[in-house]
Amino acid sequence: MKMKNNILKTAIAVLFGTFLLASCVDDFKVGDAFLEKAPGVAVNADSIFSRAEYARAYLWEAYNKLYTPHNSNLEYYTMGDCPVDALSDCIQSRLGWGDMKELWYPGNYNASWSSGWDRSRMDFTKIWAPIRNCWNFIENVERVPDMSADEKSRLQAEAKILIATFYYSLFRHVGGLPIIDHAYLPTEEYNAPRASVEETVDFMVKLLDEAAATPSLPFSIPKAEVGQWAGRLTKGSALGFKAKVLLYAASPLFNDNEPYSREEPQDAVDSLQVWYGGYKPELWQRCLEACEDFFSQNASNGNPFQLIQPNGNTEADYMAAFRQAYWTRGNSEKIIEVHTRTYADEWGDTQPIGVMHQGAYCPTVEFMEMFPMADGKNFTGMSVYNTDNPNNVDIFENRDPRMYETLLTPKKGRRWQNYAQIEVWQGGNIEDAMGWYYGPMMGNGIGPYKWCLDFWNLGVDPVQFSILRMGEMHLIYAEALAETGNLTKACEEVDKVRARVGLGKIAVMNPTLNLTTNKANLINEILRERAIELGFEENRFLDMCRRKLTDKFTTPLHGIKIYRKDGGGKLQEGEPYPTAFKYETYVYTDGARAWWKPGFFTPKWYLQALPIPEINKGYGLTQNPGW
Amino acid sequence: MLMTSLSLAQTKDGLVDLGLGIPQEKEKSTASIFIVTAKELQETAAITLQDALYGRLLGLTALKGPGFSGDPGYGGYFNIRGTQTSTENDILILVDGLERPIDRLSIDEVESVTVLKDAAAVALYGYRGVNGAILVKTKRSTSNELSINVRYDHKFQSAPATTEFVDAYNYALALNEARLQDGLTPAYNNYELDAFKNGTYPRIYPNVDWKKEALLNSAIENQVTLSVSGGDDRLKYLTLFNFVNANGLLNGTEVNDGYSTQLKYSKGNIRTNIDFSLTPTTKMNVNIMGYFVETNRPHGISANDIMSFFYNTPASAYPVMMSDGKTWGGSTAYGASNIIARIKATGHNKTHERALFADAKMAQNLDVILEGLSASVRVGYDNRSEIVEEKKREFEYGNTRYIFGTNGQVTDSVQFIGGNKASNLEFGKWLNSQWRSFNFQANVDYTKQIDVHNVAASLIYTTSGIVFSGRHNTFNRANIALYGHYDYDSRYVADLAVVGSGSNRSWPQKYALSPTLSVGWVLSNENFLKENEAINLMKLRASAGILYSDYVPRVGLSLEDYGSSAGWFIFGKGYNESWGNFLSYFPTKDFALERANKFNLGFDMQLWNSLELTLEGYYQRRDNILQSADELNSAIVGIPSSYVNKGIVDSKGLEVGLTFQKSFNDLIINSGALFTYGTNKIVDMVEAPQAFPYLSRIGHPVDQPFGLEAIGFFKDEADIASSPVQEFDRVRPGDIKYKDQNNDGRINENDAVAMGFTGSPQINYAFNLGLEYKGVGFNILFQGTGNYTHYLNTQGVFNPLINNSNLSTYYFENCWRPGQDNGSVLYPRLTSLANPNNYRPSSVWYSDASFFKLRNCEVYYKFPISLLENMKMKDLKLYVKGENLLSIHNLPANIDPENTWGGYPALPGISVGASIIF
Repeated sequence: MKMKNNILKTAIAVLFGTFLLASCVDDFKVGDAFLEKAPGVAVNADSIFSRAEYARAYLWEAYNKLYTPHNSNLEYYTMGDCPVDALSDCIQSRLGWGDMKELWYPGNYNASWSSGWDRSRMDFTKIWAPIRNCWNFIENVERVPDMSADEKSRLQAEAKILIATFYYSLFRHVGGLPIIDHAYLPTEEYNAPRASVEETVDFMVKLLDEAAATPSLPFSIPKAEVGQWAGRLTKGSALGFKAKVLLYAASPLFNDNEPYSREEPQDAVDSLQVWYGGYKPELWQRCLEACEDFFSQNASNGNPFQLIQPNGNTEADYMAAFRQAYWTRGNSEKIIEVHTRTYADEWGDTQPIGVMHQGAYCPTVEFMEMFPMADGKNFTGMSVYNTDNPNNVDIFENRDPRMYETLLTPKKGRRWQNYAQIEVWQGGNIEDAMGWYYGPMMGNGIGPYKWCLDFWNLGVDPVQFSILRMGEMHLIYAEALAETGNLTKACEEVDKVRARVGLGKIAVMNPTLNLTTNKANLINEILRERAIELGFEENRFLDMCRRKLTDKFTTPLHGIKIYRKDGGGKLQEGEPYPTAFKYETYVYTDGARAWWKPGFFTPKWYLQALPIPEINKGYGLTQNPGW
Repeated sequence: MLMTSLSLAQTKDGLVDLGLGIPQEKEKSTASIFIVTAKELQETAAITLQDALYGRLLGLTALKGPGFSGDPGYGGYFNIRGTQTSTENDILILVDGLERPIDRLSIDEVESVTVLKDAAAVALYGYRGVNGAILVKTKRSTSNELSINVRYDHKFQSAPATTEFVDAYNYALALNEARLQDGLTPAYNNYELDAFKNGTYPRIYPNVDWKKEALLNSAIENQVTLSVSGGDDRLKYLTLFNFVNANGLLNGTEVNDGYSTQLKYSKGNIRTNIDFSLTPTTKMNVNIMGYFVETNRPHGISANDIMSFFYNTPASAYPVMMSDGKTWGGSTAYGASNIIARIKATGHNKTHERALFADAKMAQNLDVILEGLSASVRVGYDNRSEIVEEKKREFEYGNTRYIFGTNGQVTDSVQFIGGNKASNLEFGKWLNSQWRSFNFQANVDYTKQIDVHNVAASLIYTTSGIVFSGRHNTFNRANIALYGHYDYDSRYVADLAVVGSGSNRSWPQKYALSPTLSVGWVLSNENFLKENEAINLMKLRASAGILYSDYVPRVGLSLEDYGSSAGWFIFGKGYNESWGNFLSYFPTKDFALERANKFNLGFDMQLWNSLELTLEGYYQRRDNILQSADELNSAIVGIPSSYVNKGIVDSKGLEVGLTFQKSFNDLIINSGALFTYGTNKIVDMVEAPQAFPYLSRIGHPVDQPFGLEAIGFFKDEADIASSPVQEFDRVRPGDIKYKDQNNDGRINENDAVAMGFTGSPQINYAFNLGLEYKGVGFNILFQGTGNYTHYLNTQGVFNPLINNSNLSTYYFENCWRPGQDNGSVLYPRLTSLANPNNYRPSSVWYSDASFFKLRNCEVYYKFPISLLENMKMKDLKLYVKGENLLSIHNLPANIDPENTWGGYPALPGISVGASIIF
């Protein structure tokens, strides 16, 4: 019996010994402790707002979602790898798989596509997460122990501007939105019916006003801090963006005697969610005041925001100044800039920039024609199209320097990667020496240049995007002045933008348009000026919508074929640049838009559809007319 | 206990054990279980247990997955009684009572496999048993006599018929036709078409039979087992060695010096199960199993990837090799995909998998304290890891395209070269996966008989911890169970289990208490049947239990989730990204565990010691199923919603098992049939408000397919213009025309209706037939499924041309084409572009996948004992076995219903072998 007990004890000891061996590295736990959750880094709202560093990073994450069309990795979808302006008269996408050709040009977009597909960038569901982050930040930053009161209020003001930009990015595509004025708690009822256009605009303006009234928010990033902090939002951003919001609000799309569409369903019209309910001239007045407020405060702060000016008066100087204005980070031109790490590399994951060279951005002849002559006279070279061009007019010579910075056109002396003359004509080296990179675009006759430049020498400097820059600010001011009757001053504002690239005064150079007296003509010219100053900067489609330019949507667009008159192709060794070209324009048949078919286009297309599943949830979202 | 002939005949001493060391008398068992023993399993030619369970166990649905036999997890995938819930349906797999995988277990080491189905069968396993379990019992020595068992099998496998694809010329024609219909330019001009047709320039316009180039017609598997058992009264042992090797179907794998790139698998198992009697009252069992696995394959490509190549690459894609005879074929569209190059010129990957499963148990009889009392302690430690060694190199590839002059003469050529020049082999190695687990169990058991009253009780404590690689992958669980049994005169039986379970997976909702009651009435022990010669057993039983699952949709459900971004925003003028952080979803602070309310009714009967019948009916309600409330809440909240205990799924079904086993002098019959019918229904769920009531998933089975009802193909533009608008894509003639279910004049997601059945068959049946006459015998096993639906979207077969994929002959011959009579075509027009109108769930693509398969068959000869005695053998059996030899189903183009996506196929195999016992 004694013997047996010993064996038993030994055996039990061995058993337990094995058991402990199995878990001897970690502490052995039993009972409740054994069932504790696995160790991990449990970070929650409390820990984020326990340190200034984490709290800032939380806001930087919201900055991360600032709207840019150049980066499909962010919260926004691209329109099937195409820029939204491929719906305008400036760009015709030739991208084989792009959704312009697959969905939009055939006229197949409908409410089913309004969410959950990367074919619609106006995705209703995308802005709410960053908005929530901002409200969460605003509500919680007070708790941060190691942050000064000034910094807290400054960051709160920045968050408010961010919210306004998120709202605007969707508002412009769909109209009135639900007003989210706090971060929802898990226990809350999530009911926020769609607000009217007026309420939505006032909500954005209120946020911007509050931000601008924050003493700790600097008017601009001080020069000494630009190297570190360029890209942060400022009081100037708030004041300028307010003008941009009010411009959209005051435009005829929302601000007219008639709703833009009378198609069913009309719920959104009846509830004033897609218009103001009538023409309200005071909206233009508010836009004007916002502009004046911006410019006067800018002046009293020593004009930190200024148009970038050329260093001399050569074409190259003008082009350089313009490039600085739209591209370079942290200069006086930028009121709201988006600093993303987007490179114009060949297979970048950032569409549509990454597929520019495959035909996502083919400029139309109509766009090329918008660029004036170098002296400021409007372009009239259309007369030589489809003729033998007896006087050998080079329609691409002597044009607005911005055209050369925006489009890739034939131009003597223009070099590719600094060594080869670019031969932009049928049979020229652009089609083979530059390989298939430019082939799809060159099928169009001319290609894009802005954002991709010569494509190979990039890669060092990320492509940047401005939500608002001084060039646009002057043009917003001009439009508000024109709408409120001050045509002469409006021309002066337009001329400031044109002077940067050496163009003559618009009214003087185009006397037949009577721009100081003919408001309609002036508005047209301002829109044309916007199209070229802000080309490929996602402006034109929205201008066509807010100004209800039906004829621009329904008129078929053109490509161009450029031929050497001597019948030559590639330049031979030592051959001089040709002097005579013929120009053949043609209406696009590949990718012809359904909108060009008589009766197809209706004003419903000015605003997009809202997602059916969201409407079905029954919290008060309505569908836009016609969808 | 459910009676099958197998269990009656073969389970020793009439006891069953549900895995936790509590023996129950079979005839009094009230649980729903079914047993298959070694004898039946050895009728199969499978080399792993996971591949041997098709159609063997009533209530277990085992379907065969694709893959090479060396792939981890190769074999069947299982569910018990169909889909039980919309969340996690994984079953618990136990080897000797501990959770262990069975994909590397040889059949020779298995004594029996039991499926545990109802609450009474799995109650003691706590959370893990909620979906049912299969329990594998390994062999032990039962006698003192030395027994040596040797078995050798050699299996010849052949490449099965797979989908046929069109030749290069027809592909080029089809691609041109597709592109024209898409509004694009043709891909090839007439000279190029002629070149494909006539084979004029085979290295430029090739016509490659990829399968013929890349695959052999045959493969092999070998298996050797040696087992030795014996012992004395104090110590019994069984030691088993099992060695397997298998070679795959690849061709041209031996062209490199020093290594092969063939798919290879070799494995050695060593098992030792020892039982000690330390003292007359103290027993100890030790089980140790270890194995080593090596696999080999071409670098960076799995067996399934290799098969998918054929579906994605047409005969015209590029030549095997360019005209220079040293650059591999390839192109910008297909990249470095060339399968021949990948087999011959990219090096190889080897994996080394090793595992040790060990456990020991000590049981002490405590009659000295109280008669009938005993206690036991058991510990187990298991681990498994896989290490990958790679040797890789790259290859250069390209293609040439001719430019033809006006007379068809070649005037110029364009050449593309990509990839990298072949280099020396680069070496790499890493740990691919590993897990380890430990188990502990302590029992106190008591049994007592007083007159006609039989009482048994157990108190069981178990804990298990399993650790996988990575964060949040440690799962600790513990159960404390009180089990009680009472029966009156072996006629009226009642079992009660009350189990307290804990788990860190569902933290902080860790604990649950699960009661299960089961009762039985053994009619055959009643006086009115006791003397009946015909009826050996007749029993009615019923069980009801409330079990819980520790499934949570996300580990740490109640925590706020934190994430950080790479910070694409760059402040300032430099390039330093600003890091950001965010909270990514609402925590779920208050939740309950998913609950299973299980009921089971059973009837068992055995007649004339040969015929057995089992009937089972079950009903289960799963409620408190955790679901995200996102569908209910607006996107404007800006953060994914928390989870709610909203889902309810009901399942019910019927099972019938019939076996017949009898010897008539020299003739032995051993046959059986299994049939199950089971359905499930979503009673409630979180569902976004639907525009039309018929769109609701409530009332349908879990994973019910929904699709559009096709009513033909558009004839022409006029047909399109006069039909409701189809909003998915621009529609062209030859596209699928759908029915407007709600008559709103537009076809969109709102027109989808429920279609067919689900991917989990409602009907499962199997029957086996075995006859033996004077030592010559055969066995045959068929398995079938019914009410089973698949969505056909196999790339290249039902989804051809798109993304440059292949085109099956079947599709080409049965699709809508311009200029032909399209009255009876099956499929829409050819297109080279993604087509959301045609390739979306619809009645065109949902297909009946029911099948009837001959899983195994065997012909054998057992030498007569008289002959063997001279050779000092106890048993000698020679046999030929077949597997995967016949499959009957409705799917076209040689698509296997169990492998619709085109993975490495199940190979038909003939195995010859011998088994000797000394």
